[in-house]
Amino acid sequence: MAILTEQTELILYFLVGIYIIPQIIVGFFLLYKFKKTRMINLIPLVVFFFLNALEVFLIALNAPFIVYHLIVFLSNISLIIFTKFTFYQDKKSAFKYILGLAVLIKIIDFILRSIVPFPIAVANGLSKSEIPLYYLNLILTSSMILVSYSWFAYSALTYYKTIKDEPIAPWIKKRYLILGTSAFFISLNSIFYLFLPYTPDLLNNPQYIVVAILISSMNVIFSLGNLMGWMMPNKLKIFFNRNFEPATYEDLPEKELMEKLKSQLSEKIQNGNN
Amino acid sequence: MEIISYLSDFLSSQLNISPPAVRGLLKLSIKDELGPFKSLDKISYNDLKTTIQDALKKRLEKLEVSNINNIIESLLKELQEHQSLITMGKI
Repeated sequence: MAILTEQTELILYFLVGIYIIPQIIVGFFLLYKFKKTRMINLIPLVVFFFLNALEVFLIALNAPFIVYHLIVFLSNISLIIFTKFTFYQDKKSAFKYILGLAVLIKIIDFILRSIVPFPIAVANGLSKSEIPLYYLNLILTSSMILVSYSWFAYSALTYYKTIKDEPIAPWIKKRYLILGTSAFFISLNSIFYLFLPYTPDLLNNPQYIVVAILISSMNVIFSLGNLMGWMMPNKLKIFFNRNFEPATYEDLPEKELMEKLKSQLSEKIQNGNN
Repeated sequence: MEIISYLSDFLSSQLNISPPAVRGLLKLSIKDELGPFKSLDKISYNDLKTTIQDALKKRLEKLEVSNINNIIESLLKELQEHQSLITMGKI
């Protein structure tokens, strides 16, 4: 059993490694892109990736729970802000409600965790009165995942559906699909979290092992999806675009271009009259 | 830049003129609005919005296009709908 526990621990550490390394790489890549393009909406996304990776280090360093939860909260909020400023500028959206809900969830979560320090309580064995609070805590954690990641997944996948048949470069369409799908997978963690058991010796609990591996796998899919989606290799872009004719521009001097447009417009009027 | 070609295709269908010429017109309007040194890579949603509202509108008036206000309005609506292409197409 001890060997199994060690192996399980190793698998989980491996999955955590695959989860954070791509996010750090994507974070630096997007930071570089921000410097190049000055697109302000990339800042919350950069923050999101760096904080996501930082969360894992904070667990490893046994950081105070307030610091850890503040970082988790800020990373979720960053993703919500990125979604708003990438998809919904000047557009009706659920942004205010989602942001308000996220803040409310975190406030209740903070209060709850101040009453019951769950990691310690679970390790010592929960009392009967703490069990409902434990599940409330899981529901809050799940809701936070659902609120932030699924809004991004919904926005990307809905937009992908809108442009699926439009004359837009296929590699860009695939980017929406990859990013949206990977966010959808990590949203599934909101269900898996609800099945986390509360027995003290977690690594010897098969239910915990299954749930932990499922959660880590979704995290890994999200991480690798983002690596692929944001840092798509050129060869893959070319492959996706193999049947696509890129748009051409009429790069004439200003006067000639305006003349050309005038003549095309008058031709159109003449054809309309005829 | 994907958003420019998408908006140009839309405008070209409204004006019934060739897409490459409309793409040229949009690029020219961007130059009018933001100056010659702003690269297309650095154009934001708000840059495109003001370009459509000001410089492109003036160009269309010069070309004596009819129904300009409706065209501008629908183009702004298209920009709103497809704004994420600015980010997704640039990275």
